[in-house]
Amino acid sequence: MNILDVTAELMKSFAGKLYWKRITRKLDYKESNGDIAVVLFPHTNEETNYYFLLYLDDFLKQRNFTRAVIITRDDMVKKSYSFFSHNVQQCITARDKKISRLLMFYSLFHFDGRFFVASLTQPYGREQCLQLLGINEVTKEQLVKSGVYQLGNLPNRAAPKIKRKKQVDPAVLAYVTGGRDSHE
Amino acid sequence: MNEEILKLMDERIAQLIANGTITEKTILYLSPLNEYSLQLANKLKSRGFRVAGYCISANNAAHQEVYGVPVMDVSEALIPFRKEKIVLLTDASDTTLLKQMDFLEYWHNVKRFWVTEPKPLSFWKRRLQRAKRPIFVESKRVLTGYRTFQRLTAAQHNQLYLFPHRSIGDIYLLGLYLNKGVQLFDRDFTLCVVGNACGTVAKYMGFQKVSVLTQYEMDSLCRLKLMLQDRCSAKIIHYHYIYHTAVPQVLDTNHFHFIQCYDTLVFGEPLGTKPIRLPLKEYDVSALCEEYGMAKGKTVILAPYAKSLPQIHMKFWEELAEELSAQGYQVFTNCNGSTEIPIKGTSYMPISLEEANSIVEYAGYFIGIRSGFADLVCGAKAKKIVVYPKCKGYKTKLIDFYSFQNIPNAVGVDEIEVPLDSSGSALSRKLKAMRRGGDGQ
Repeated sequence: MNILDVTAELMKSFAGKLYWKRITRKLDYKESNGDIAVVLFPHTNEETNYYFLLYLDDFLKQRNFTRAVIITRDDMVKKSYSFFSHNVQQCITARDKKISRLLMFYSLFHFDGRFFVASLTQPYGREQCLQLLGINEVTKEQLVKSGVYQLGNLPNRAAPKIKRKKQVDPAVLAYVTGGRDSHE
Repeated sequence: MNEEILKLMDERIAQLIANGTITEKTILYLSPLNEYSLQLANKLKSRGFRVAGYCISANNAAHQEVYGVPVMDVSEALIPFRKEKIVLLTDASDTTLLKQMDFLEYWHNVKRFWVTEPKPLSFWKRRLQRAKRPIFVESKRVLTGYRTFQRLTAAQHNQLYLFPHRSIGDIYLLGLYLNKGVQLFDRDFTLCVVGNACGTVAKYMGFQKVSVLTQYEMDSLCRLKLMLQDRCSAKIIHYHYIYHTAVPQVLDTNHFHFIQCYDTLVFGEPLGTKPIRLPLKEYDVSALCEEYGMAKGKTVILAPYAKSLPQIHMKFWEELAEELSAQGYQVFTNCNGSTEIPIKGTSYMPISLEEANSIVEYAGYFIGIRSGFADLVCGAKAKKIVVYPKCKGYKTKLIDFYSFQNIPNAVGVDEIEVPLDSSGSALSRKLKAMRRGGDGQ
C-alpha cells in the first residue's frame, strides 16, 4: 500500500460523489421532503436480493419513507421489484463501475441518511455478518431483516402473490413466487 | 441571547405544531442543555406542551433537574424507542450526541428537529465553508490514517491489530484470549488501542507491543482500512465492525452472549470455560489502603460509573451506601476524572487499573455496575456483586448479554438486575447473603 493507492481510492469516491449528485438532481431530491429512500442493489444473481425486495416495504414504513428508488444492474431485480412493492418510484440501471464508485463514496463516509446498500457483503466490513450464519438459528433472511434493514423481530413475510400469472415472464414468476426455499 | 434565533425558534415550533409533528401526545426532549433549551422549554410550556427532559451526552449532569425538568443521558431518555418521542435540538454541534441519536434511530427531520437554524453566512465565509465539506474532512481523515499507518509500521514491521473502542473490559477479554493462546495472536503483532487506560490494561494483561493512539488517529486508521480493504494489512479486532456493521440487532434478536461474539466474529475459536492462568503482577496495596483508612475485609467498594451502559439512578447508590454504613461497613466509591463524583456518605478513592484487583481483595467486597472495571476485578478473591440496569429497549437482557457466567476467570460473581430508577433496597437480599457469608475472605 502506498500513497498512490490511497489517492486513487479517494478519486474513486469523488467520482462516486459526482454520480450521487447526478442521481439526486434527477430525483428532485431536495424538494422531496426527505421521504425518498435510495436503495442500491450492488450484486447480480445474488440470492439475498430477493429478501431485500421482500422486506423493502417494511423498511420504508419503519423509516418513515413513502417512496423508494432502486439502483441496480440485476435484471431480475429490475423485472420483479413491482411485484414486491408499489412504493418504488423508479429503478435506475447502473453500470458496475458506477456502482463501485458509489460504494467507495459510501465507504468514505455515510453521505446521506436516505441512502442504503442492500447487500450482506458490501461495503467492506459488512461481510463479517456472514460468520453468524447457522449460529443461534441465524439465517440470511434474518441478516437482511434484522442486520441490514434493522427491522427487529418482524415475522417472516410470505412470498408475494401474483394475480395474472399468464402475463408474467415464467422466470420472474418463479423468482417472485418461489418463496424462500428456492433462495436459501 | 440572539433575538433572531429566538424568532426562528418560534417559527420552527409553530411549523412543527402545524404539520402535526408536535401534538399533545408527543413526548418532547430538548437537547443539549443550554439557555436556548431553557427558553424553548418555557415557550413549549406556555403553549401547553410538556417537556419530558433535557438530553445530554455527558454523564455528570444526568439525574439533576433544571426548573423541574430532569436532565438525562441520551440512552436513558431515548431507550426504548417510541413513536411519540421527539428530540428538539437547539445546538447541533455535538456530533457524538447526533451519532448516538442516529444509532438509536432518531433520524434528522424524522425524530429529531433542529429548531435554531444557523445564521446565514457571508459570501467569503461560504467560500471557506466549502473547504470544511464532509468529503474533504473525511478525505483528510483517510490521509491521516495513512500517515499513522506508515508511522506505526515504520517503527515495528509487524501486523497491526486495531481495537477501535475505548473499552478496558474488552481489552481484559482480549488478554484472556491472548493467554489462552488463540491462533490470531500467534504472530508478531502490535495492538493499537485508544487512550492510556486501555494501554495500561493491555500491558497489564501481557500484550508485549502496545501502541496508544488518540480516538481521531484510530478512527482514521479504521477509515483507511475500510477504503483500502485487503490492501491495508491492519486488522480491526472487535465484533462490532465500525461504520458498516450489520450485526448489532442480529446479536440482540438471536440472544448472543458477547463472548460468543468474539469467538465467532473475531477469533474464530472458542474461549472455553476453563480458567486461564494470567501473568498478572500482584501489588502490595496495604500501605495505600491504610492511608485511605480502609479496614481490611470490612470495606465495600462501590463502582457506580459505566461508559457504555445506562446509568442507574444515584438514589440507588446513595441508599445502598447508607444501608452498608449502617451495617458497619466502610464504604468507598471508585471514581476517576472530573466527571465522576463520590456517592453521598462514602469516601473517595481513585483506584489505578493495575492495582484494582489487589485493592478489591484487600477491601473484601465489591458492588458495581457492569463495566470494564468490573471485568478487571472479576477474578479477585472477594465478594462481588455486579448490578445490571434493566432496559426495555433490548431483546436480549443486558444481564444475559454481558453475564460473567461465560467468562472463564470470573469466579463467584453475583449478578443482579435492577430498574434504572430502582431504590437501594433492591439489593437487600444480596446484602443479607453477604452478611451470612462472613468477612468475605
